[in-house]
Amino acid sequence: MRRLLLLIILAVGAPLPAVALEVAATTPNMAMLARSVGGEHVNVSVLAPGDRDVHYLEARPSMMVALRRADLLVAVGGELELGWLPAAVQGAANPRLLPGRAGHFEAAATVALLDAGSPADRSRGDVHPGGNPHIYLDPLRMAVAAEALAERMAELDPANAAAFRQNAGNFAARMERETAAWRERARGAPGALLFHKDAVYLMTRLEVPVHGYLEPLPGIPPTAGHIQQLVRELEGRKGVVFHMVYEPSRGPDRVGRELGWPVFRMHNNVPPEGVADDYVALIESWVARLEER
Amino acid sequence: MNKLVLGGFAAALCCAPAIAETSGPQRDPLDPTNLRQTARPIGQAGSGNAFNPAMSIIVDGAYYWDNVGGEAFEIIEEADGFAMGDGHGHGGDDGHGHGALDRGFNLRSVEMAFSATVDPYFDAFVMILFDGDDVELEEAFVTTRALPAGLQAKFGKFLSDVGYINKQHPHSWDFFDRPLVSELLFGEEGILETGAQLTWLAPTSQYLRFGVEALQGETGGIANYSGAEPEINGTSRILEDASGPRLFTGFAKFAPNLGFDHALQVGVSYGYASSFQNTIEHSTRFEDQEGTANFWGIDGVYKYTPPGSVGGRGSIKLQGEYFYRERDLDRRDVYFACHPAGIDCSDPAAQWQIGDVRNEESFKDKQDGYYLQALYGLAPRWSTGARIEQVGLTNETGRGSGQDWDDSRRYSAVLNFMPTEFSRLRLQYSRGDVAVDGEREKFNQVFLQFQMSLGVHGAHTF
Repeated sequence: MRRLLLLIILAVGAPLPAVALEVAATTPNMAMLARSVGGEHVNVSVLAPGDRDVHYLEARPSMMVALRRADLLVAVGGELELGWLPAAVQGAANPRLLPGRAGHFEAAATVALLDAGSPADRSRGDVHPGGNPHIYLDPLRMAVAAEALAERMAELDPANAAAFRQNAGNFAARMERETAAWRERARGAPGALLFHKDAVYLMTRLEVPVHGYLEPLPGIPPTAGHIQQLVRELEGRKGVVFHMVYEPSRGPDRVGRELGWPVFRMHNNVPPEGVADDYVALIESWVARLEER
Repeated sequence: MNKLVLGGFAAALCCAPAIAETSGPQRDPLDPTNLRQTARPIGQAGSGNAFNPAMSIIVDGAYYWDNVGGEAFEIIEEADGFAMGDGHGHGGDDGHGHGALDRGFNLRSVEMAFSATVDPYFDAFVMILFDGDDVELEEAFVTTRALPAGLQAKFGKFLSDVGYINKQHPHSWDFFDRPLVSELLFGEEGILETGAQLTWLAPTSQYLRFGVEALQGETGGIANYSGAEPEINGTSRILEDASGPRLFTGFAKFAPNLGFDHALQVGVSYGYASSFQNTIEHSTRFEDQEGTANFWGIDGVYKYTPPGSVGGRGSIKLQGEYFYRERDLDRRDVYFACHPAGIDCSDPAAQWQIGDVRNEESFKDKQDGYYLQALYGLAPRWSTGARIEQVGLTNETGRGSGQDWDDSRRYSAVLNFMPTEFSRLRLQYSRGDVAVDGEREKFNQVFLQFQMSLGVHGAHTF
């Protein structure tokens, strides 16, 4: 027994020395934001990969390891990670990251949300009365979040405050520049049918109409009846169908086939090690699909 | 939350002017459509409701059937070696246990859970359970928020963190019923005790958590307690008052980093009860047992989620636990009536008088059990699984001349459907093969369970 414990202790190794600000980001997009703002002054770890639905994760020991060491948690917020992040933070026993502390940053709390104040009624599906939390697909909201994040990092590491603000300013300026070009390219796109109410942020930013959602209600998978209704409503119009890699393709494929619209399987996150270039490439991938029409 | 809003404002205030210089004094080019968070209108989140605890209600019911006249739960309680006291059953004289169902429709429980942050230092959780007729306090504890260095303390009435399934509420289980090893070695609610816990999450690059608990000691299977009993006709009983805490546990959990797709956690646990007391009332004498008990166990859980998995399709969860329990007991019987029963004490045929002592002995009971289960994500929102269980691989009771009992087994298969994360339907079939008085009692059970979770949805722990 004692020997076993000793072996375990040896196997997991010694504590890691902290040099830069340790950041734990919930999703690769948030990690990208933290890297963009923190630059060389932060070490960023990602709690969850981008290829699965962030609504339905569970708190895992590896998340608690990252949170235990972190000085700053960067989350999307807006209750998006409600199903697992509170348990992971609680299990990490790191008081610096508790809601309300400087080490707890939620991007959604720094921007205005779409659909804020919708009724808290679960017969309408998995709704967020505080507003739609999927802000990470709006480059300009990400720009605002970057500036707020710079202030938070400055509070935790005042020595590098100027660098954080500079980086956030650069990121914001780039997003502004790119967005202007993206809007130009997407101008006149006939519109999109989405699976979940997430990419609505990007479509709104690009002024591309959203024709509807494959989910009859948030969190409820497409039903045959709902798909028929969508097809009836959109018959004869033009558009594209988008769904994320982790969303089933059967419903989208059927609507695409019946309407004659192209169907695209999209990513909503940068790779886990992603930086601002990857985020630009991510948004580009959406814009390019809209351009193709 | 307020701080975040303020943080947003601070960001707006500090950074806007720099950009504003080039594009006019009033307009923020980054925020042409008021992207930034604005203050909430007064009254939207008043302290009257904002400070209420988060509440959830879980309704758990089942249609139940078995082929032994509804007696399957009684048969399990009488499993050889595990029945309370002398190792074999007494015909179910305690009536229905906690987890027992009637054939037909049952409302197993309605759990009401409240959680809130008390102040900067404590979080609190309270769960009240209605099980049809009775209301009982299931859990009520506070957890520290602000201890440094990865330490966390908990006190109140809570489910012990030993093993894996012990601290889970029934609505988190992957099968309808508690594993036999947990029910028969500890109790029908596992180890649910009042006490204190201290855990430490080591600052290592892989998950390593240690914990110790000091518990009052009232769990039937491991720390049964009755306290001192009055003398009978001048003869004292061996049961004595023992102040709590009487049950002490320790555990360690280790989880290597296996990337995003795989997760593994293994644990070891140990427990020691400084007092185990039990009384069996025979027709003319009390049989008192008093001593100590201890247990150790190992547990493991492995989960695999394929990348890009849709609604849990293709995911795998393997879970298993083994526990070994040993009780070291002294026995002494004291007559409270003359023997044989009903005889007049002055009758010379009375073999034993009130206050006489008999059967003084010391013995050990050694028992164990395990379960292994696997769950597979068949399709989005659907999962299926199987569980095998065995108790009494070691099944020695030392009372009297000692006995080596047969083991008992149960095999289960399950099909789960989760329309949303707030509701679940489950169909389970179990085949029991239980040793009762040396005979094999076999039965089939079918559960059709529904579970609804209203209100705030609690976060999923590993």
